Amino acid sequence: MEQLQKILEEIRPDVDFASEDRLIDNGVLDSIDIIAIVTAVNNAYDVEINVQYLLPEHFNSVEAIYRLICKLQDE
Amino acid sequence: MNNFKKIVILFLLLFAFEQILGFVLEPITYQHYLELELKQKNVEDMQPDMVFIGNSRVITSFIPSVFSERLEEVDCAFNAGTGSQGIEGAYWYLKDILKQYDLKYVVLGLDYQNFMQEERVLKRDLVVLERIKSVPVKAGFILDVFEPSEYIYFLKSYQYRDEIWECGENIRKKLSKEYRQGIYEDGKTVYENLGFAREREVFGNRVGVYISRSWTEEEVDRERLTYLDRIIELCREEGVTLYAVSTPLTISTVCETPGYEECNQFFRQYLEERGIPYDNLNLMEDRGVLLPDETMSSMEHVGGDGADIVSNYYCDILQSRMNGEAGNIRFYDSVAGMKEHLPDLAYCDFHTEKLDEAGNRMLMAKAFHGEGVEVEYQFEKEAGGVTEVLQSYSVEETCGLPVEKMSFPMTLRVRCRVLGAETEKTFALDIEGAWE
Amino acid sequence: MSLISFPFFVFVLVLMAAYYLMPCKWQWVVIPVFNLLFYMSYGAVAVCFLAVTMFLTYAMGILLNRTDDHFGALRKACADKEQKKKYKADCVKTKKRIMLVGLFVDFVLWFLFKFTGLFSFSPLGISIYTFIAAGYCIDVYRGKYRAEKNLFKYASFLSFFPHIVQGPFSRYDALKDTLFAGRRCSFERLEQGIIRIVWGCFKKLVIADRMKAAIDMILPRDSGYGGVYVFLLFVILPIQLYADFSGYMDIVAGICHMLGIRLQENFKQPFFARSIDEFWRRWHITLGAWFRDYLFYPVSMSRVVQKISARCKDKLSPVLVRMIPSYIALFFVWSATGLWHGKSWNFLLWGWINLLCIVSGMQFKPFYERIKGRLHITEENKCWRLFQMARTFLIFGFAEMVSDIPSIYGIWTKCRSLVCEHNWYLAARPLQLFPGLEIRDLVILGIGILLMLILDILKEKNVDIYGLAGRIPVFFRYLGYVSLFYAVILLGYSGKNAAGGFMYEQF
Repeated sequence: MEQLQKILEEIRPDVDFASEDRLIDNGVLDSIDIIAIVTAVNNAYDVEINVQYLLPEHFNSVEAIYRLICKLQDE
Repeated sequence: MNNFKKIVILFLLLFAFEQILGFVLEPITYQHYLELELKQKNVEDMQPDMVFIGNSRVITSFIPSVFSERLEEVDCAFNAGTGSQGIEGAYWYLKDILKQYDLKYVVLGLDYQNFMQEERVLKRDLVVLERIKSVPVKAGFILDVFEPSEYIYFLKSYQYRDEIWECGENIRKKLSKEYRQGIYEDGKTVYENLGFAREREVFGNRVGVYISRSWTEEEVDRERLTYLDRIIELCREEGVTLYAVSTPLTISTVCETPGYEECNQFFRQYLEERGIPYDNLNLMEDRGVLLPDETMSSMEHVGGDGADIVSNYYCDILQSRMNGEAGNIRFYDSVAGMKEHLPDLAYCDFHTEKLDEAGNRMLMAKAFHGEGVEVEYQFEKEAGGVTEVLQSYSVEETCGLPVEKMSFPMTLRVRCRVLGAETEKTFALDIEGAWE
Repeated sequence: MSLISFPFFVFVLVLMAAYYLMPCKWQWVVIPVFNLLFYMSYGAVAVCFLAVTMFLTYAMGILLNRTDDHFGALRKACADKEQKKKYKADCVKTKKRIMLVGLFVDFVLWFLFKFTGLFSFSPLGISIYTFIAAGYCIDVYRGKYRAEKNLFKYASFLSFFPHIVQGPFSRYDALKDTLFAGRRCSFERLEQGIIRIVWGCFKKLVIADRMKAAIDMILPRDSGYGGVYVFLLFVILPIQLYADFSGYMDIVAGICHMLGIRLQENFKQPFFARSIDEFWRRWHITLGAWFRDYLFYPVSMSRVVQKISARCKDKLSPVLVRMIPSYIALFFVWSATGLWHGKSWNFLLWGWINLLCIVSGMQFKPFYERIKGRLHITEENKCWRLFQMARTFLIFGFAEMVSDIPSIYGIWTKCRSLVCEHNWYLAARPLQLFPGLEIRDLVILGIGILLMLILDILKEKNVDIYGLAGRIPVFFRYLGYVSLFYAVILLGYSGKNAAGGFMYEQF
């Protein structure tokens, strides 16, 4: 999870990922950020995040993203 | 505040704005003065019993007071002509007038152009709409003649929106004492009384040959013609005597417009079949002497004293008709008949034409004359008070005008002389700036 | 029928009467009837094409749901994990096929009308409803919501007359609640809706049409207007387009407000944007959102594009590697956006100008940050903010000019004259600067644009305009409204160059 946090902070150093839990709902991340995160996560964790996972529940917080990664790795 | 009160406030505001803007924007028209006078007549207990209906030619040709004074059967006539009035507007306006007044006589000015196929001119009908007082007649007129996309023009604020930039002057005029008392301000066309307006300026020797739109029977818009029938029918129903008349155009227009004679015959026949007396004042006896072109104000309007001449002449005609004396009606039978009696030099086609690319021009003159008559022409030019003869008297109808001799502004003249007679006339052309 | 016309005025009156005379439960039925009337006023033949797209995408939605339900039931009944997985995969495969067929036919029709010269006419709003229908299909495919079972309700949504001509690109889930629910008439809503319509008419007739007179004289290649006039174009083109387009949006939004239907906003004070990227989240918002959700995300997250990025993992910097999918997707988005506006290559060029600005902004962000640091500029700095807004504004104006000139030589001529023609002294003579307009027109424009600016500033500060107006005493409020109405009547531009229709109407 720390690795994930590091990736996120590299993409958006101005965001406090530790405490923010409405990254999508509050419009903190824009579409470019999301794709950058998706690409970085795909490359780092060797998963394939599909368009249909592009929902607030999967991207609103670091925990949510981590849960998604785990889910995809299980499949 | 409850909703009903809000709606009331809204409509009051809309109404107030519309009224104020209407006052500010709407230019002064004859209607204001006419209504003041009619109201005055009402106060004096004088009900109108004769009305003149038609377009601006009617406005400037018929002086109501002449008819009121001279015709035995008529006490009070008024002139209800409106600018460019179409035959559709004439019908509906007449319908309204007949509702308001107990008339005995209606004189309809017949302008043959009113029956040609042409594009709709919205403004002419809006002017008539403004004059109609009765609500059912107004509604009938709107439904009959106007398209839904034109309804917005019923808002004065929209109709006259382009006048917004001259509204200062308009407001000043409307607030003046003269306006409220019904005194018309000076201008080229001066309102005189009961709907009649006089054209002050006349051609003088600046008259040219004016040709109106040519006429053929095929071009007659049959639908528009039905309005004439409706007018005839309306008068019959109301027990009103209808007279039809065509007001004078310039002699040159009558002689030179293709199809004028056919047009004249067409309407004579059409109205004769329907039992309506029709007089064409263009063909009045001694036309060339009574109402020469120099005394006209435009191709289609009499000027100066012309209205008095026309009104008195027509008054005599009407009196004869009312007395049942058809034999006293003095007109020529046809254009050819009129031409036979026209004095030489009644009109002259005087104009310039481009000669070549260098800018040189040619003066051309052709005066009307009888058979076997020869006319001599002398061409002159005046500029800065100095007159120069370009070509002395000769039968040559053309004269060159080289570029070197051109200076602006200048006046070009042709003096016409009938060979072997005393008859002489001058026709002039004012050239302000470059040629068109 | 054109939106600013007597027949349309009657149309809206009758619609309001019919809507509010109906019992609440059946109010929604009124809408598709009037949608049809509206559409047919533009030509009865085109209705057939709309109907084809409508039936097709309606059926697609139902089919997609049935596939989901079918395989869902199978998975539920099954105990074997592997079999469950297989069912899931089959479900996705089947759904994908259905969706692709639907989208293919949907877009082929659009392509046939817009890009081939086969037909002499174009069904009204085909560029709008094609995309709305496609978005609906994709949303149902993704399981965002269930398909609409009622054909009339779906028809009502797709052919909704406020959005069918120029947008916005409505989303089914955003529109359906207010579209199908009934409600009682509200005086407040009527009042607010009407004034919004009047304001839209003001923007269009008084401001946009007036400016168009000057633009039409300067824009043509052989107009002889260059140098400072070209720069003037960069300034007045955005304002004219904004007044025209947002004016239309205000009219349709006002109508919807009167009905109590919530239509998505398409503009959010666009000239306050500090970058082209932000601009497109404030201008024609629903178009950008459509391309983001249905082109940008799918392309950037597609296996192919992600693989490209993965292959570059060790060859390029990590920053660039994770931007590659975005850049590739953006290329497709801006090419498509350009072509959506027009089929000639100068629209493509327009799209690429936007693309260049956005991509370079992202790519060189660290570089810009360093320079800003050296110059001690912070984001809060007012001058810096103004500079950013002006820069964005002018870039947009330049791009618009490119899209308005159909020849490369024309664009080149205009741009070259910027440098070569020495008529910048005219900037001090405003009257000569606006051919076709007189001083009174400039005054009217000045006041009108100032009003637009004030309103936008208020909205940017999140002031509730309706609320603010509501607090003004009724008499003065209505005095203002009636004044605005008469300003439209008196000052609506009808000079010889007056535009007849709205600019996005051809879509």
